[in-house]
Amino acid sequence: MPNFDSLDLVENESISTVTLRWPDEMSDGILADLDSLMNYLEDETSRSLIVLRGLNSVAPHAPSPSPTVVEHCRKWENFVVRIDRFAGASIAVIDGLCSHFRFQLALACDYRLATSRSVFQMPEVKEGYLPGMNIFRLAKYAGIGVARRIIFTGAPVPAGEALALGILDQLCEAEQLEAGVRTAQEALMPVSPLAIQMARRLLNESFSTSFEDAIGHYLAAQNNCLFEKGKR
Amino acid sequence: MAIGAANPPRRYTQEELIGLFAVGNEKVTRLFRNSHIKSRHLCLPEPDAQGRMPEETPQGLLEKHQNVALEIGSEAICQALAEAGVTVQDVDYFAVVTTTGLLCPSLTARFIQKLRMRPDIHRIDLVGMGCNGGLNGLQPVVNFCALNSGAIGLLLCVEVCSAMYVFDDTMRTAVVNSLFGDGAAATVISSRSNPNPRKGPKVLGFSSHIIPEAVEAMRLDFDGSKHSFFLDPGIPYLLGQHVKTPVEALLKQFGLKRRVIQHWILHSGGRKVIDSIKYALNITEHDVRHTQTVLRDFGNLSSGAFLFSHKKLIEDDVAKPGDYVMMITMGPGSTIECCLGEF
Repeated sequence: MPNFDSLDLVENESISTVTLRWPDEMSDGILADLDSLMNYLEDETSRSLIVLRGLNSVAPHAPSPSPTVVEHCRKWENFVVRIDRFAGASIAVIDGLCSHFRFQLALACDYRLATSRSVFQMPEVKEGYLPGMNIFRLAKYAGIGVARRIIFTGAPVPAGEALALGILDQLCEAEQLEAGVRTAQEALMPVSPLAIQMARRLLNESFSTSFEDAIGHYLAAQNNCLFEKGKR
Repeated sequence: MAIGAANPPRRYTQEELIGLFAVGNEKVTRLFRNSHIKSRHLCLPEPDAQGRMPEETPQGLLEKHQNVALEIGSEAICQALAEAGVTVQDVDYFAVVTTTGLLCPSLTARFIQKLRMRPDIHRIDLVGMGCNGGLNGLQPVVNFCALNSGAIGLLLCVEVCSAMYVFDDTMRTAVVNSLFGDGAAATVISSRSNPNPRKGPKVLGFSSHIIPEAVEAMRLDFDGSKHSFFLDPGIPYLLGQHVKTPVEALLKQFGLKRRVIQHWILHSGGRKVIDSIKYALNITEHDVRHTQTVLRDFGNLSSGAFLFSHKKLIEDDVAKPGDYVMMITMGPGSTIECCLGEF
């Protein structure tokens, strides 16, 4: 397993738990760690469920500087896309303020669990730049009207409201967080890596594909799944 | 790899072809319309007074294969040589790939005569390998150039699919008649150094994977007087099940992972086969954009299709030095051929 400066990786049976120890500023070091992490998860381990923890700010109201170079944005999106295309499932665990790139990563995960004291916020547009590819993802979860409100006002969205909007999948009390994580893991297990990868892809494509094309895509993806299943 | 490509001048839309073939079967009409093909270049006889195409004789079809192959093949060769900055007299090794007609003397001999190539040129004809044949033909050219420093190799893939068809209003022949187009593509290979990505990639290696249990899945049938191609409806899915094997084997040879491949060139075999490979390798619609464009504008050009797509990639001017390209062709055998290149 590689060494990481900005995150901890703990592996247990079929689960890789990644705890992000990020400051509020993106850096070359963090991006290099994320690249190494995905290389490891894709190539070196057969674990099929990633639990991402630490998706909340260290300080509840800490300022979040904007990315300084677009190259950071490119590398960051490369990482988020790899989570989005991972052959396995991912859970985001949030306990506090989830904003900026933490919110971006949370929305790319398959399942989001937050404590009731958590708050979601997307203030980037008010700060003069764009909230990454959340601009693309948020409307798919919550509809374009809600997405506009959240993105344009930058107003905090309490966890209860996020659950009602479909941004969040599971809510628990802070003192019940560990039990909540176990419940989320059990909800997604057992994970069939290829089936979840293909299903996620077809769901994402369903917004932009004609029904006639989608049937062809589904049959191609189903062919892969049945072939893999037959080999097991 | 500098690439040239040419097609016969007449281009037909799928709707025009439904009329010309006088398609009466509703299922066949749907097949033509739902193929993701907008137009194809074909050499078809002039319609009669009723707007129907006259039946072509076997002899006429073979003559068409020879005449059209020489015409569009010469154009593609001249383009590729000009792109590479060499002349026809510089070519040391010449390979021609075709499946749409058996000639003796073969096409290499006829091109050498027509284009006044050198009499000491080395040559090989690959006949009957089908859609995958372009990459099978590229291998001896690359090997010759690797063994003979500074040598110039030339590969031509030329298919006159309108010289090999039967139309009988059945689904069996309709699948093929709704799909294939005529075209020629040539590429110049050399071991001379080429730092310019616009001249194409360096060829690093090849891998092959044949599926013997599916030997009859794609084949030429003879109906007593003419040949026609048969495609098993299940073949796209079978290819999807097997494509990872040669791709991963080739990547492993060079210590690479699939995610480092920036450019993918697939044989434009049809909508289903592109979908099947795309989902099997989990590559995106953007990755196969050139493959899809070639299918849309030209139909399935058989052995030369991958070079048409590759030409579009080079013209896009997006490939940077150090980028990798994976070329994949599929065809009778049933077989999957792969080639890894580096810009």
